[in-house]
Amino acid sequence: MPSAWSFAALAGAASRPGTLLFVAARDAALDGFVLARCTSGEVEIHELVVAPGRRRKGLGRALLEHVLGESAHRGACVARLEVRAGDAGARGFYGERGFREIGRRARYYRGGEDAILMSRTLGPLRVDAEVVANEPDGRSGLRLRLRPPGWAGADPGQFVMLSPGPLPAAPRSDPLLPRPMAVYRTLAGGGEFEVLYKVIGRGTRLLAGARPGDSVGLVGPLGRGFAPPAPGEHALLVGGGTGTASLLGQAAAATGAGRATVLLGARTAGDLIGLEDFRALAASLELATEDGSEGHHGLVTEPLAKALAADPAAVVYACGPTAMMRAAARLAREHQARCFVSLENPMACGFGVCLGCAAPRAGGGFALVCRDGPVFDGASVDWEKLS
Amino acid sequence: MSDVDTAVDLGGIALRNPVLTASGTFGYGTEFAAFLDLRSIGGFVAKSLTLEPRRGNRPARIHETPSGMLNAIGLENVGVEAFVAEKLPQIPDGVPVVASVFGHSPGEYAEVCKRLTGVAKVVGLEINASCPHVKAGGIEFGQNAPLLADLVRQCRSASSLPLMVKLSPNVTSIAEMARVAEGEGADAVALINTLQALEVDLHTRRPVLANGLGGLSGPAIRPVALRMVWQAAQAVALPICGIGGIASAEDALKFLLCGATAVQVGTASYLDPTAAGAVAEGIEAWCREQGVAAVRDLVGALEPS
Repeated sequence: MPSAWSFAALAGAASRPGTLLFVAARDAALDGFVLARCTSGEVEIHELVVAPGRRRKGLGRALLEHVLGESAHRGACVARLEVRAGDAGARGFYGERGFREIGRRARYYRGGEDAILMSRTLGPLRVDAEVVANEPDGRSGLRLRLRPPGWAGADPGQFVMLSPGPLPAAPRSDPLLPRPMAVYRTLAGGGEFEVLYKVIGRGTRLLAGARPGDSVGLVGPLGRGFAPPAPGEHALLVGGGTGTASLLGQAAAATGAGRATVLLGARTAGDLIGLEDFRALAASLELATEDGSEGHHGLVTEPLAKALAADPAAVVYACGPTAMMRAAARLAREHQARCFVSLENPMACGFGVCLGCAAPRAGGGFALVCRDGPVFDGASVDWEKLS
Repeated sequence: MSDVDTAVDLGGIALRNPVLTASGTFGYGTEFAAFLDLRSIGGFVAKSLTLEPRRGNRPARIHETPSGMLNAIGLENVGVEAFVAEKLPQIPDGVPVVASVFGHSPGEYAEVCKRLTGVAKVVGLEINASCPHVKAGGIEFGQNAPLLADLVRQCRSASSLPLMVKLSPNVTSIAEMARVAEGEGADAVALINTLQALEVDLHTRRPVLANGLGGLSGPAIRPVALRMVWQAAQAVALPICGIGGIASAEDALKFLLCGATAVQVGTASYLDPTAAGAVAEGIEAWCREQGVAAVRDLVGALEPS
């Protein structure tokens, strides 16, 4: 295998504290390995090699993701590495996975070749995501599919901040702020995901203009999502309007853990989004519209009240307008059922800095929707003070 | 690695490059560790600290406006003790931290200044004399020359650290306020804080923010900030830290030309958490391209109109 490391050097390195060595192998044949050292909040990737006959099968990517995941688990915030300046393939490989070129070391390699220093942060990404598709969903929604370099998936209920255009471009000023959007579902083995949205104002109108191949600025995944449903649990998932988009991942998890009942509400039949994906789940689905054009004529909280009366042991997961979540939390309390809500307060940053998304806590003080949520126990929110 | 000398001296605060981040837009620095190498910027100004922790205003706290945003957070902060004990240790070595100080009385300001003096990593103090959000607080100091003079005098005698006074733009003469700060022994002035502003929800017929008034930030205020930096630079010999809607290296360079020794990136960090790093990189690249040997050579180099 072409590597600057002899077997003895590898074995020596692997015995040093903080060293991570992962191999890809079939039976006795070594297909590749990654060697890294993780110390004081940083991981240095020393070597990542895939055997010549085993390339273009995703092994390099899998090894890299594994070592980055393990490093993050051990507290690393930053990953660093060097590549040969002339190795366009390696520079491209790491560039696609969120690494940026941060410097150059002259004549670093034997033979006089320069080294390019690259680094990326672990944790939330800040990248330009490639638009894979941006198409209508139902009669009024849009479904945006993104491929962010380095994306490693998100938990149900987590969100991203999206800007309608690439981040490093000339500073955008109107609209100024990115928009928080729930991760709707993960695709392509975890490397892509979708958001569901509606055109509401300037930000979403610009986003609606993004075409396949365009770039969309992304920070995420952010926040704390839903806790995994307990085995045997009956989950009541209540979505209102675009809040529905926060629930698909949790609904899917709930059908695996126990059983799920999905209740989706909107003003009219045309405002319901994501219906086909919810129909495809092994969950019972009930719809409600305020004008009666589809399903129950009235608010979605009315079928929720019935469902809770039938099974007070169920757990409620709700996302939608504040009035809907307030009502869901009240109904759950009346039935002594547990209820988790995903709040949608306005925010400027999404990562705990602007303090704009403060939500009043029951008992006083504030929680940040972006950092402490967006998912909260319904009983922990002061619903009277939440605007 | 660089052939451009990017180092500046901001009233005794030695910075490797002239880009700081503005108080209230960069948390306590730790929030950015996942996005940005903190050693790539000159340093950061932490969220304003009071003697006791503060919970801040009830929502709604922010509102987007054309090319800007309004905020009335209410100076929510962990308090100076928790900052020293819990936040500072998480900041990597070699990252200069400027602590922003706020209080309800000059005595309280001075107490906070004293508590921060001699603390590792804290290389300077920024006196938030201009925060327009708290009814009983800062606005009086920043808008009234005798009050400002008293405040700066008491902070000055409480600390030997470099003292930077952050000025309010909500005044008739920014030059006069800069002179007051200079006269009382400040080492630098920082300007501008947010512009006092109001937005109304026509549907409810109420202000959009629970606090009523808020502070306007973002690209919308940049030309106002640039004008005030230029006016202050004509009035005082103190180094100036320029703030207001800076989102790119080009924006920052204009502030240097108008007399700022350094700048702070604020609201832009919300849109892109690496914005301050990109501004620092861009200044260096521009200098190299223009044949400018030292960034400090640009300070006040504005040609007459």
